[in-house]
Amino acid sequence: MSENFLNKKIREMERVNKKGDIFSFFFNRTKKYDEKVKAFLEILNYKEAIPYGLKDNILCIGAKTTCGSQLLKNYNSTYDATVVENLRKYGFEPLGKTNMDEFAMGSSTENSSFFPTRNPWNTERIPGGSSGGSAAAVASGLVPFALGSDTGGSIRLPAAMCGIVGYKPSYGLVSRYGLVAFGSSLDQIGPFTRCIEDTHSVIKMIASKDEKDSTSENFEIKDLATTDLKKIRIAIPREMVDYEGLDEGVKESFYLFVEELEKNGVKINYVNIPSLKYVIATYYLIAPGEASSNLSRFDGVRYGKRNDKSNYEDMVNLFRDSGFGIEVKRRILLGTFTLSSAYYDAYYRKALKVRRIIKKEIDKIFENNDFIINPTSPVIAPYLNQITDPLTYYLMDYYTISANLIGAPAISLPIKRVENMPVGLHIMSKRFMDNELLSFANRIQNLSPSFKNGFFELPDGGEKYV
Amino acid sequence: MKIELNDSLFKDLEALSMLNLEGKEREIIKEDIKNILKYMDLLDEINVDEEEEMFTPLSRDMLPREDEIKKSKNIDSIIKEFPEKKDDYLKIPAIYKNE
Repeated sequence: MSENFLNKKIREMERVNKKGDIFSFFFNRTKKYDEKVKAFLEILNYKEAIPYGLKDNILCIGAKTTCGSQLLKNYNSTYDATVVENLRKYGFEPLGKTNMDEFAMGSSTENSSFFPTRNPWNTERIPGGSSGGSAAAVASGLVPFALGSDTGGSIRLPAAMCGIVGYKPSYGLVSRYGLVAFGSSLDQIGPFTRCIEDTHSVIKMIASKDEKDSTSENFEIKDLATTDLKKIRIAIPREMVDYEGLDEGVKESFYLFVEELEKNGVKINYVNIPSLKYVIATYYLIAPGEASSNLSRFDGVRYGKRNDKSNYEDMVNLFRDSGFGIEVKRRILLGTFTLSSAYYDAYYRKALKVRRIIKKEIDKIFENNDFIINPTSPVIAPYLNQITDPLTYYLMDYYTISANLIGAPAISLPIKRVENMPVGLHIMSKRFMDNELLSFANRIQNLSPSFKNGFFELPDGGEKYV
Repeated sequence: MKIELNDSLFKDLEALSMLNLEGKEREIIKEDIKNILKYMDLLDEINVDEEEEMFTPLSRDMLPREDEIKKSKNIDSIIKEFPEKKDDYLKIPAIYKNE
């Protein structure tokens, strides 16, 4: 087993904790505390392994993979995802499958067809989504880290709302084999952790070129380097800080952190990226299109509960009608609409072209800047059932979506709290500048008032595991 | 672009999506999609005539694998998931209609 930062810490814990092996320690914690946040859909019990949380759209033999959907509630994983195999080589096994918005469609985890997950900082509030279970599990100290998937912000948004680190690697860095596909040109698996060293340890273990995912690339995750902040140039898009939906408290927290960066020698450049205005419209034309195609495989033929319809078409329709939740149906229909021949040019093709414009404009910014920063979410975590209109939720992805559209890596770090709820800083770099991004994030994490004794803080009253 | 998302178009979309919605759910989703498409009109103001589509962040072609026959390790577990089977064969309702 390689002795990376995470392994070392876990071994230290094992020495301190004499009561049993490390898996049992977290297993018992989860049994005791998960009722409060409802992070897990299924809890597993391995021996002699180091535990982590696994989003329930990533396959793992021995566990179900439901994608938070009634449609797959009895589906047993028939193979292991490459990330699961990679982690196993280092002695890690999942402690459980974490809750999520159904088929990763949502920003709140309220769209899970089983139950909503709650935010550990305030259980009346959402944890963000769609990987809300993974975020809540880490932020409650139930697992040392967890994996999620990110199609438009589904790792970074819940990480910000739960006060932990969430990282979406460059598209192609991590194999998507065994991840149930949502938007194939946008999806990427990544970790939730409590410090950047852990993020680095996890990505080093899961990143791999995989013949089973032809979009994966050979890329070396290097050791974290020392970043000289005086040499760092950061862009802040005016479109993002002037966004009308940005909460005043979040804005103030963001600017306080920017001041801190400047005090430490970082050069800040305010820039214009006019096409950012179109990111949500672009994303919500492309992602549902890809989803409608990917989700056509759920027809009740090879798995799922068979209904009593004797005609094939009726059987498939009833299976999908009764299995999918309303948000999934909405996106399938929207995607089918934008892909249909009469509207393809006006909507889908146009969105693909705007995607190119967005990439060109962002690439231009990276010619003179190392990173682009903004708040991760325009608001702190809303209350459960506070938002019912889908478009309002879609607009919450404004700050995270561009990284998926262009395949860039991006990370969210907790910077401050507003109304005792965490606020995240979003840092994006050029595609495959992941090493530089992680080193920079590692250098600045201790500038955050939430970073104490080597970790971002857990909520008050949460039992700390180190 | 002005689109009239009428009942007939929506029914077609349901058929293409392999869905057959209940009345109330149909009305809710139809209204939501109308609102979402109204928001998408934002893209009308941007000229994309000179641009190429961006289908993927990849800057290279995806090379196909060699065709090789490999025995899957997961055959038994896949068969176990079949909703209906006869021996190791998957059973499905007839795909033809008696007309």
